[in-house]
Amino acid sequence: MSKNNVNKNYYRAMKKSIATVFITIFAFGVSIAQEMYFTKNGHVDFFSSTPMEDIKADNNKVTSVLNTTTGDIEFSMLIMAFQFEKSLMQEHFNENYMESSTYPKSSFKGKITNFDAVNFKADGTYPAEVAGKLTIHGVTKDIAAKGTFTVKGGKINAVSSFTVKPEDYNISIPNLVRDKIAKEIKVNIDNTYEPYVK
Amino acid sequence: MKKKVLLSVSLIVILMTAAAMYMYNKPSSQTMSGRPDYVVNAETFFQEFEQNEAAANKKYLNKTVLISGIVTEVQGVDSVGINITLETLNPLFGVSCEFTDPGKADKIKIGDEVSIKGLCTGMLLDVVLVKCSVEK
Repeated sequence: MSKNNVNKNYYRAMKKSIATVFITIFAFGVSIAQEMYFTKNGHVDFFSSTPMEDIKADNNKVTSVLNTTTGDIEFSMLIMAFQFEKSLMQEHFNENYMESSTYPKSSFKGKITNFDAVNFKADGTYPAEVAGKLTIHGVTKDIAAKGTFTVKGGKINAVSSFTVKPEDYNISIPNLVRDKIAKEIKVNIDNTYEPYVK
Repeated sequence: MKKKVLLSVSLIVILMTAAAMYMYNKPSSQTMSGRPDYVVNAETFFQEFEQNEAAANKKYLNKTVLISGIVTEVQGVDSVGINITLETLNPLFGVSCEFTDPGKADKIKIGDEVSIKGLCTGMLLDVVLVKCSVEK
């Protein structure tokens, strides 16, 4: 057998394996692209209501990824991106309560627990339950919430409401203003996801 | 004499209460007024966050930044405002600027070279500025 022939066989084998690798990557890549939904402009607001004062803040820069194959769902948001009606409230929120310079982000990592009941492939409205870990102010707690997924025209909308207690996340509120801030803060989520394409 | 003192004291109290009420109820501004703390281009700004997020947070968080760069994405987020993304060396993510008050932002198109002033809130995938206004 000549050296040439050996080389030829070697290259042929090489070519084949390279092609296999590429096909695998391509197929894998396509399937990943189809199952991930994404938003950079998700909406989270929270609402604190007491007889003394109503406080509301909005964040429109929430990043979230929804994996429609596994039911994994993740959120990430910047605390300073919460915007209040009154500037002093925003200042106190960031500096005194949330300590945003030390803990600039809040996040959630979880799973849809009734995943079988949600069909992301067909248009419709699906009640859902999500459970996972919520991190606020550097403290991580287990949390579960109910919500609704609406699938329409290739986009997925997710809405949910739940309450959090500031004390659970080591957020201390001075007695002087304790009456102005609710013991339980209502959090609303409203995200519209689009298929993730690079 | 006593009357005068009483009058001036009550006047001071009224003024102080009014000032406190004003401060307390002062609405949040929709844009950042005043001079920026930092003037930087989008590429350098984003790179600082990519290389060392903690250091960049320390430097830029809660600061007014004037960013210049090329527009890669314009989104009118449902009734909330406009989002403009500026180009960086990262192929996927950039500097994302949220406009609560559209101002001149609705005239901006992809490919425009702009300077945007806003409040730096940190990095998710994009580095996020809020309360933005177009300076150029």
